[in-house]
Amino acid sequence: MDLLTFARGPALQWALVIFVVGTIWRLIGILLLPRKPDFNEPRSTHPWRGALGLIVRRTVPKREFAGPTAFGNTIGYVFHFGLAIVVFGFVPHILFIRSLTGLHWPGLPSGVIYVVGALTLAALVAALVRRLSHPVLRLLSNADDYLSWLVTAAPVLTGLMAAAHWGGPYPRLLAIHVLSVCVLLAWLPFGKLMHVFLVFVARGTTGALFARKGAST
Amino acid sequence: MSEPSPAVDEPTVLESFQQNGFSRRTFLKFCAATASLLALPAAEAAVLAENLATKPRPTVIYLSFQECTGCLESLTRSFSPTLEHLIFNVVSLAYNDTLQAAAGESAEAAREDAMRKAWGKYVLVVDGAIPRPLDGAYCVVGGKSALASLQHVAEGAAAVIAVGTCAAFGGLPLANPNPTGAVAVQDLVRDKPVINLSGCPPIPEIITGSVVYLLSFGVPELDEHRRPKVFFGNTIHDRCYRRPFYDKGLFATSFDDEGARNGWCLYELGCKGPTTYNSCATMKWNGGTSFPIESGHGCLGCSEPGFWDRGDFYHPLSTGRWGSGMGEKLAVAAVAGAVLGGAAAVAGRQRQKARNDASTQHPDHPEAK
Amino acid sequence: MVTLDQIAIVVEEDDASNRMVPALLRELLDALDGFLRDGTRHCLDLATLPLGHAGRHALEEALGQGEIDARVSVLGSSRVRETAFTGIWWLRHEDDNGALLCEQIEVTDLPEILRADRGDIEAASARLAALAASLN
Ligand code: SF4
Ligand code: SF4
Repeated sequence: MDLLTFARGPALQWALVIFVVGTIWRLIGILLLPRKPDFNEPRSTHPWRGALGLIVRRTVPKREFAGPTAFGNTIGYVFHFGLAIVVFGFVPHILFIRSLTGLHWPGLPSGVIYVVGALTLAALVAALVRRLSHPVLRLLSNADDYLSWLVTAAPVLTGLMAAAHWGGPYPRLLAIHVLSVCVLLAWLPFGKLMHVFLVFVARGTTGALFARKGAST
Repeated sequence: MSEPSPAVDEPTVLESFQQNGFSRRTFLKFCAATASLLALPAAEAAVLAENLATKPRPTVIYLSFQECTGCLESLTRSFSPTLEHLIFNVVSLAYNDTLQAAAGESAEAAREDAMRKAWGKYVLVVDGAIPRPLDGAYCVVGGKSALASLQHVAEGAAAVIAVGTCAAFGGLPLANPNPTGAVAVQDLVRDKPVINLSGCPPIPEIITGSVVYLLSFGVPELDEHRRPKVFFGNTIHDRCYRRPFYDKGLFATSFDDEGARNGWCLYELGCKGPTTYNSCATMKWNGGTSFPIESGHGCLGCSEPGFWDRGDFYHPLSTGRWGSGMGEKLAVAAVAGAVLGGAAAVAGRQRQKARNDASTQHPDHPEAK
Repeated sequence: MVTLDQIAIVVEEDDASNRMVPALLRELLDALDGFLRDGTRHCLDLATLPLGHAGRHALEEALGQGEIDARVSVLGSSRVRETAFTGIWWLRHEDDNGALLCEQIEVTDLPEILRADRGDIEAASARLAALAASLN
């Protein structure tokens, strides 16, 4: 079996199985944790509205911190939106999702994707440099942060290399790209990348709690 | 080995042209067309003509094993150089069981004779795969197994050309479940240069052009699958005229929708152009008439190893090969995840309870009086 | 049925191919000077150049038509044209069906394909002798 057939077949199948087991395991594990009973009179009867509100509001930085966090926020925005555009806008990626779920939507021109991909990679590199050069951030970072960075950046880099036919014959580049996605899928539930899902759980819980207490956020 | 050497007393290619009643002008035009086909730079094109004028024709022995004769059919449709020129003027074809007039024992005897005369110097061309088990019993010609014939003839060859995907990579005979245990030429011939001209069939001009190149310059530069880079240096996708549509994200989604009628890219319909190295998009077929994508069908990837077993001619390249039962697998995975998650939560609750119990028994605790 | 030419394929003309033309003219100038200096012949295969339709047309326009326009009937037909610049020749080789085999630009006093070869002349002499003998 050649590398590409392996990557598109068994490697992807196993990566997906690990991804599903891991994600559901962690989500259910967290959602079923016991919560302390709150005997207070609720101030608001709409905890869901509070949850959704905070999920949205926390994506925008607080004005008071806008200045000092501008750089970090900008690169964060660039690569988060960049990743979303590349993953959900590139037609071959949409076809991949369709083959799995049956869902599909119109794609963007490949040229746009290449530019966004390059910007995303640049932002990811900037984020890494910042993490390494910022004394506090560096102190806060552990192996998980660097591994998560690596498995996120690798598919972007290998995807761009494949698109540019740079670094070897295209079938091999494509196989490496697919394999890097397999690694990402398999690692995602077990490290900090799980924030893809948990960000909603965490913000939602806090938002609901705040709403119940009537706290302003 | 640099280049195949002549059989004894063979005329040069130019002399052969002239003996057969062609002028030197014919020879020059033949050389110009071949040099253009091989995309030779000007200096090398001149050397090509010079070499062919001075080098004696090499003996060629063409053996066919597990094959469908499609490759030879393709070869007979070579436009430039034509097969006639190739076999009458450029090489001395000593054996090909389909093209030759002789048959039976006299044909085999003629082959042995030609081999003896040009031992160590002739070119061996092979089409078809070779079954290996049971001493090659699954393919026997004239009482001799393909395996034994190949090993015997290859021993005295200066170079071996594997024509077609079957000879080059095992092709259809090797495809799952490979009932005869077929292998490719390069799996058996290890001590001679092997040139793979893959394709199902290969483009005819690739076969003729490679033979002329081999004769004039020796073994051409090869890629990782031992294919000449001149012909297999680019993917179909690299040179496809539908490429602007790929770049714009305009795809046909069925063989008769609006996109198909507009000639949009065939990626969604399973085109394997991006991973297929071959010259169809530039040299085209039938004397430059067209190539499959021009007829509205995606590339199948026929010049790549294992193309048949990928089994996804009509699935986009970027999709996973999920096989059957992927849905069930994921459902099982989801259930397994849920069970693990539930167990983790129960364990977490117990731990917490144990901790709480422990702390309520602590002497400092208000309840622990 | 929709035929091939009805399918709207818009080939985007690359203007890099137009920028090729001045570069090619300079190359041909060098080649002409080279030929004058020491008789070196030079040959360009048009198929190996990234010339689009427009670029090819521009090159043809620039080189123009000279005094000679010859037809050679071997392996199909070939056309040998001298361009307006003496010593620069435009060769077009076609096969028996009129399909293009290759196009070349040669820089030389006389393209090889026009010259009569000694071996061919010898063969002709033999043939002519036989003919003369048979008429006696
Ligand atoms: S039709 Fe196939 S080879 Fe042509 S651009 Fe589309 S994917 Fe590439
Ligand atoms: S287009 Fe693809 S499948 Fe068709 S002949 Fe060419 S390489 Fe083979």
